[in-house]
Amino acid sequence: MQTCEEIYYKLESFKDSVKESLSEIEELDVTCKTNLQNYLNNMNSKNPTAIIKIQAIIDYMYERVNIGNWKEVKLFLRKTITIASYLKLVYHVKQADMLDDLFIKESYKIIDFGILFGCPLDREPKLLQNCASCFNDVSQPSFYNVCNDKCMVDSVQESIDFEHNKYSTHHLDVLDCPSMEHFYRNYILKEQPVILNNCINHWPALSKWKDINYLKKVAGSRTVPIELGRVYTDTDWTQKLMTVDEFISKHIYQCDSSTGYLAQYQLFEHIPELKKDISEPEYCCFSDDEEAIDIMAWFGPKGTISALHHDPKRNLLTQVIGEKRLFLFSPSDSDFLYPHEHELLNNTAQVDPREPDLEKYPKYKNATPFYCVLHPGQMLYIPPKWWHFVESLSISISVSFWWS
Amino acid sequence: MYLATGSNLFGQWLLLEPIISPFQRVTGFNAKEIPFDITSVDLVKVNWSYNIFKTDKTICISGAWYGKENQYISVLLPKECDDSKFKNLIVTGNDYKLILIDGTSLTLWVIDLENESDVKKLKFNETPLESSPKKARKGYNIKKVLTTNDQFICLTEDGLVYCGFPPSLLDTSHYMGVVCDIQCGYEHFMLLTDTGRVYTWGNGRRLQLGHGDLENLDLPTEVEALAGIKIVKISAGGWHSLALSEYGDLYAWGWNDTGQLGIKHDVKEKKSLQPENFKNYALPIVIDIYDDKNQQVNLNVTNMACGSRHTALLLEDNTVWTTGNNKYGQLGFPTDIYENLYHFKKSYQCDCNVDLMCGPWTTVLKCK
Repeated sequence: MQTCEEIYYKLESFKDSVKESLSEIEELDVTCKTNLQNYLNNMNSKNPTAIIKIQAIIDYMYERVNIGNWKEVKLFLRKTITIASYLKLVYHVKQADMLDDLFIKESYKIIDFGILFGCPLDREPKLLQNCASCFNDVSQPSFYNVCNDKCMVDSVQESIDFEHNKYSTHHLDVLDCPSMEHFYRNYILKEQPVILNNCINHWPALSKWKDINYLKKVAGSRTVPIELGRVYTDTDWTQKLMTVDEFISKHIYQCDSSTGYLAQYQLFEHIPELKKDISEPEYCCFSDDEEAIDIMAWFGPKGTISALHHDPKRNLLTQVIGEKRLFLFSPSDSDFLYPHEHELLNNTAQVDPREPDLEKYPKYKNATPFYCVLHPGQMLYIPPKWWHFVESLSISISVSFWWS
Repeated sequence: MYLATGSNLFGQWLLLEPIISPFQRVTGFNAKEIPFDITSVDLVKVNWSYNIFKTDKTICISGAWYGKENQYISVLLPKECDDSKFKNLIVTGNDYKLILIDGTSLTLWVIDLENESDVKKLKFNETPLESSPKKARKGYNIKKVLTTNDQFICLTEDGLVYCGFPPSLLDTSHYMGVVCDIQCGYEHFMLLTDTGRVYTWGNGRRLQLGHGDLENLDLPTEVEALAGIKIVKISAGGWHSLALSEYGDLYAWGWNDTGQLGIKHDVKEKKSLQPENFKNYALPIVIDIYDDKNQQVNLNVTNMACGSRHTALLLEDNTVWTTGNNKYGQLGFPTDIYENLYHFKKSYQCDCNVDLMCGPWTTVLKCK
């Protein structure tokens, strides 16, 4: 069992590289900059207002990163959030005298806010993730609620042939662990979708993630963004931050409120422990540039929907837990699918392929829908710009790999 | 005399506590050496970390200044801003610079807050003015200047609007009426004309423009939902907007993440008071005020002001009502009871006529 002091010394070991990182936030205003500098230099001294002021800097930076489009926010503002979150954590630990649940949960909250709104420092890219692992040893056995009866497997059995007739859809090719060359020549180059079997049999996730207690243990106290609302095109669709525990109890096993979906989130950057359970498929190595692969997690109850849309990157959608069904359309069908006109939504179509309204969207009858149900262990290659509609048929966890 | 509630994190209100709540008189009693009399200076602007005051002879700062806190100083002015010019000198500032404007010659001095000796002199960009029929004018007489870290806008006595940095003249010739007020959010602007029309432009992603969508607008565009209603006062918060009609109706729109629009839902819709139910509004919505017994308050709004994410109103009976973010006490309520307030609540009863002002995380009353 660790003590607060031991955690403090672990956290303090990052101090020098954080100090060096101050050069990355040169553009920050002089008041915030000198404050952060002073708190870094005087970490050992007692200062009752330190936490309030560090929090104020975080809150002020939160306001500043809300100005303009998120993708264009200046990095020094987000780096300031990272550094200030680190400082808040250090002062939080220093003030504590008992390692109780509340203290550990609050520590994770501080870290997670920094990860969600901050960004990696060049000199210490995994600063907050490393800070989080300082708490792993103390947190695990003490405070997660055991719920033995909760197991994620409730597979759906259904007749795919029936579905095909109902929607007059076409089958996708299915390959059993194809050679790299075959996959590259016939699917990557020709931009054709395909289902791949038996490519991820070695993933520990396939068995480990069946146990909800495992996920609660590794990630339960961590805060993540959850999408609320049935479809992101709905007006009452929104996002909310909550802990994984809260998400599981409110939205996975109890769906009476609105649908909650941990969607399109880089969970493996946030909680590196979970990345050990998966691996990047070799097929992603056919890349046009050196850019990293984006690995996204998708975790939700039965009935989550991603409206018919397309993405600019290549996508290997991997099903780990539960089933999902998909409708796919080639980019040449775009006119038949009625994309939204607004610039924010023009990669999203108005047609719902499950119940196409042919009076409203008459050209849809010319479209060629492909249909499939993905089962655990299967992977679907979605070429760039291919339209896809995704619906979960059970509690589902998928991992998608995006690369260009 | 000033009363303030909210952030005193850098000693800008000459009080000891980092967070002031409820409203407290600002006397300067606790500060050791102050080169100016806090009770007689004119508060010009409340920034996040410092306040700007003006007297007839000097410009004063309280709060954080050049990296030090609890500073109370007179600003060393550039030599050119001598006594004769000082009378017409207008001052404003943001987290990075202090800006002095000579309203008659359209000259700006920009003092860098990281390096006091770095003073830049700039001229307004008047190019579009040359083609304007209004060009034969004696003086400019700038009456209002607003700045954030990213925006700058000012208004002259005869209704000319300059925007950007260095400021350029905005073509307002086709508007209905003469511009009589300007407002500036973190990424949006508002204009009011003397015929009661409201124009907005800038970023609309948080619905702050009031046109019913989340488009951005490069040029001022009339808020159509308010056309036909004579607006007499406007106010912009960080990402929200307010307008007051001649009949005392208050309209609000934009971001409502901390309840800054002050809409009391449960009265009409009987929805639970969960923050999830507090939506943002893309079009102006009439705001009704209710007291603690849920009775509608039928007093006219006489003034309003917005902070980053909070709103304050002054009613005709000299009561102050606030809504929105209260994390730093800016609403005048205890921070441990309300982190946010989702509808207007009576915060203070003034015993004299007051002026209302907000900083990002502060609400200030000035006794007239």
